[in-house]
Amino acid sequence: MVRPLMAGALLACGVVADAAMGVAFPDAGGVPVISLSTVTGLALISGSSRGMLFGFAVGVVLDLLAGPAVVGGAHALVGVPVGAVAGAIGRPAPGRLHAAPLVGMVVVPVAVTAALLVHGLLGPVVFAAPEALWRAGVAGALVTPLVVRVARQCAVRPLPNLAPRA
Amino acid sequence: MTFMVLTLLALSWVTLDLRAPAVVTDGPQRGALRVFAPVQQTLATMLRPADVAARWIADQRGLHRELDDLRTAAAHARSTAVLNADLAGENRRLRALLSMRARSAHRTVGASVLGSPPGDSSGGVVITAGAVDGVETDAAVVNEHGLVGRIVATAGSHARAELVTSPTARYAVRVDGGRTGRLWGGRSLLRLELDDPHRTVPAGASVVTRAFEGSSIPDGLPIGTVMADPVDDRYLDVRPLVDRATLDLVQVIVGAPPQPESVVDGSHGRSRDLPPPPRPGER
Repeated sequence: MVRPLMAGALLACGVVADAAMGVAFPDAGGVPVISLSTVTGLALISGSSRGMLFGFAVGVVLDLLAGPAVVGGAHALVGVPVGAVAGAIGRPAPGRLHAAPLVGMVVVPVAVTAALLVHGLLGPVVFAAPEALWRAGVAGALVTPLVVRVARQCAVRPLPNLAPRA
Repeated sequence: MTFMVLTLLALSWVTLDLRAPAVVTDGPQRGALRVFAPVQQTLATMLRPADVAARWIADQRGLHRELDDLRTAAAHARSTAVLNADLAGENRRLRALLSMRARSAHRTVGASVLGSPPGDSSGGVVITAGAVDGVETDAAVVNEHGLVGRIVATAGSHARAELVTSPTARYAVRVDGGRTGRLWGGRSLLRLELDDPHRTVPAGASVVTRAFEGSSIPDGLPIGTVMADPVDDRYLDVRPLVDRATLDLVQVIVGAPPQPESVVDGSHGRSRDLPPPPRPGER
């Protein structure tokens, strides 16, 4: 179990990091790949229910920050299934946490694709799809295992030993 | 259950936002902006150097590409400049040829110099005008500077010309002031023998052709200029106006009638009766 405060801090860091990316690379298109990677990483440890909550919370914050450029609720609509899927992958078998980079590399681009579809259905697409997808893959592979590692260090209950059995 | 609830909440938000934008979320968005804007401003201040560095790196790639493009364009411009210089030079020579043609008032045929015929070490050249163009043997060949030589053989569309610098070339000439003499060819300098060796000739005096009976060489075509230092009392060196190295466009004077008897210089007679060139031992 990840402490709620710690989870909130990690999610806030993800949102701030996305904002930083938006500042540092204004041409990047504003895709919240780090936030989605953070949700994925936390959901891998916390399970589907909490993962969905994390995804929804991050989605709401992103929708509020996005302003009128994006239809409200679009990020939340994407964040919920992202947390659900990542939680479903990681929670039942903690040994799968070893595959966190791979999970992030797959789940985050899928989430970005879903966000693109939702944005495309609800309004104008605000970022370029090809660049967003490869950036999402890289961010998912790098950020998700980092979030998993930090969250495991700060867990309320010690997580199962992931070392391979003799 | 959680999934359904959260999804329904998100969908409700989407629906409300689509139906009445900025009504539902206006207040929360303003609050989020109020909280987040200072954070983003701080981040912007902190990350500005990174942004500048990233842009600089991206610019470097673009600049390298642009530099390559500019180098290619410069090379192209240089080659174009060389081509333009060639064309300008050719244009200048053609204009000078036209000027020479107008001065000589003869009908001419233009031709290009192909090069020396194989095995001809006497300085002859083959030109791209021949019998079909009306070119005949002994016709004068001129360029923008003056007399180049004379035709010694014609074929269908080509002819062979003997240059004034050929060792076998011989011409009756006139020097500034009306003095007459004979000119023999030479590799780099021509040899002038004056009829009256006791009269001085100033350096730089122009040497032009002199008409005589039976010759097809018109009168007054420039050949060269007298050099400063005389060889001896009898002979003068003449620098030819024609330069074999840069010879490429010429004109052949066609249809020039043989000189009438009235312009014959009785002291020398026909051109083929000119005495042979002096041998080195004669100096």
